[in-house]
Amino acid sequence: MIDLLLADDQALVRGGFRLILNTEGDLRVVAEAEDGDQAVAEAIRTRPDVVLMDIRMPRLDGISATRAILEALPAVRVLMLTTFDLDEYVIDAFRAGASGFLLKTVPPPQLIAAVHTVYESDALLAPASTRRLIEQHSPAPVEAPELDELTAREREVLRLLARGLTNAEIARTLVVEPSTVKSHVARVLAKLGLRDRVQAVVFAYDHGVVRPGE
Amino acid sequence: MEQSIRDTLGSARVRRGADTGLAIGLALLALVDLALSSDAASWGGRGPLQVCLALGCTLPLAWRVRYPIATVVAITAAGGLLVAVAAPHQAPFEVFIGSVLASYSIGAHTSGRRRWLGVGLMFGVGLPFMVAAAGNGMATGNALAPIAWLTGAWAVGAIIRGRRLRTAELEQLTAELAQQRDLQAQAAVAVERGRIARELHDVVAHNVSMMVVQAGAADRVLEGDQPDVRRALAAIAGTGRETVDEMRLLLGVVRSDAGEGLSPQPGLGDLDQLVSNVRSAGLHVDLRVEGERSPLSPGVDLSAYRIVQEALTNVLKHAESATVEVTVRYANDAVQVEVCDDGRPREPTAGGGNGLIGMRERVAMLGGEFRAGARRDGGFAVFARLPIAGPAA
Repeated sequence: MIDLLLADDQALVRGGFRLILNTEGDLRVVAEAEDGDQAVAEAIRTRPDVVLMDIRMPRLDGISATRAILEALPAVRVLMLTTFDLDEYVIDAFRAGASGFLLKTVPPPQLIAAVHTVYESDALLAPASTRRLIEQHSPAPVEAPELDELTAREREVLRLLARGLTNAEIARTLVVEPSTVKSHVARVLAKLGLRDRVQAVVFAYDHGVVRPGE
Repeated sequence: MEQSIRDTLGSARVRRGADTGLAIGLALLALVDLALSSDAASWGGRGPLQVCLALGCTLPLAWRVRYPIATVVAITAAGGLLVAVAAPHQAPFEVFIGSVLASYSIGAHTSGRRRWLGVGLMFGVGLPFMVAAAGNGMATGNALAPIAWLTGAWAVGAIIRGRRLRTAELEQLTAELAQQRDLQAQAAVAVERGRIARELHDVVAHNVSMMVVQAGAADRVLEGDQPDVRRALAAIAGTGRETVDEMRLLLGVVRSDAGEGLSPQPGLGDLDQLVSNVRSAGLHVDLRVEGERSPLSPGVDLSAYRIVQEALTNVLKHAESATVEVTVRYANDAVQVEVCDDGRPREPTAGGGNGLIGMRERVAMLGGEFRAGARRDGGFAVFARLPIAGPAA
């Protein structure tokens, strides 16, 4: 059972999502919030698995609330929701630690699939556009000593991660078992102090592991 | 009024009419003088020559503006001949008037090389007659005296011409400045409208998104096939998505660079926060809410908030330590906001500028009333009345 927290300042949006998500057998909405402050408080209180966070809320906005929640509960996955997918907000959301970014008008089946994707974190949500956005908004690459900690194989896995491949795809590319890939990925994230694949993409571009256009 | 009189007097036709009248009047005067004067000596006789010369040094004045050089040549010739014929007596005073006016016209109605041509011809034609007059017995000083007054008349004409030209230049500059000011005002209005449009698009897009979510939820919760219902819900969701996509494009067009976007568009419910911010800036604010608080459409809510916000900003900027009263009145069919301060008295345009334009535009868009102006006992008041739709079903 995946526990969900819904944060959105419009009651009818919360209500709509609640209906959609509760009809899915393995999803359960355990709390709701109508502003950023309440979102942080409710997250700490109910410790959900996934948070659906409206980017635009009164008092505390969604991006700041995401940062606060992830500091308190690093294992939570945050799925950012928005009316307009304006690029600069997407980037800020990822840098704040969001695992995915969605339009509120997304059809219900895709919403449910997205929740599963970020929870299982086997793959990036909307890999092509996520990658493109991060690539477009990367600053000039900076050295990272942590990269030396990685083995050659782990660096390879990181490169493929940064290209947006799923675990299955990485396994096929490297001709190894998916379970092997899974442990490689876990080790890479742990060694680099990254919370999930999206952060791996951001890291890779920030530190020149992947160059734009590759 | 002054302008139209000037226009009338200045119009070419009137001027020509006046000149014609002047010429004819002067000519008649000369003829009468010639006919009735007891002493024909100043005319040098009373014959057909004198009649011609009398007409010759007055009638050409009718053309003094259009053909100043021809006029001055004709009058100088006729007048000069009269002077020579009348010598040693003084010539009749009509010669004096005619030649002075003709010389003045050279100064006032010619310029550049033509002017020197006119002056040259005038003296070139007149001098021989003056010399002849001296030869006929007139004192040399008297014979040459015309040089002085002709030069003077010409100089006066030139000065007046210069003044006329400068005035015309100034008038044109003034007109251009006024036009520029109008254009700037129009631009300011356009900017305000863009801002207002952006905010409203934002509000609408958020509401339409919410509709799409609800339609999606209804479809999921609906039991059974129900193809008609599902089709309707899909239509709502689909159209809603397209709408939001288009609004996103529009938002790009009317986007401003002001930092915004991470907090929702405000409404009258956020007045407490606004007032408390203003208070911490040092202003004394009284907030009063009257009537039963009813839910407002986002457009009205937002506009009402913005009006209060803008009015308070103006007080902070211009009123100098005042007390402000903010009143919000809910009625059945409208919501009224009023912001009155008792600070430094000021005019609506002084610094109000863009703020007032924005308020006016918002109110006009919603079909409401707006008034802003200085209060009788000092200070400033802003009043807006925004109609709200009837109670929702």
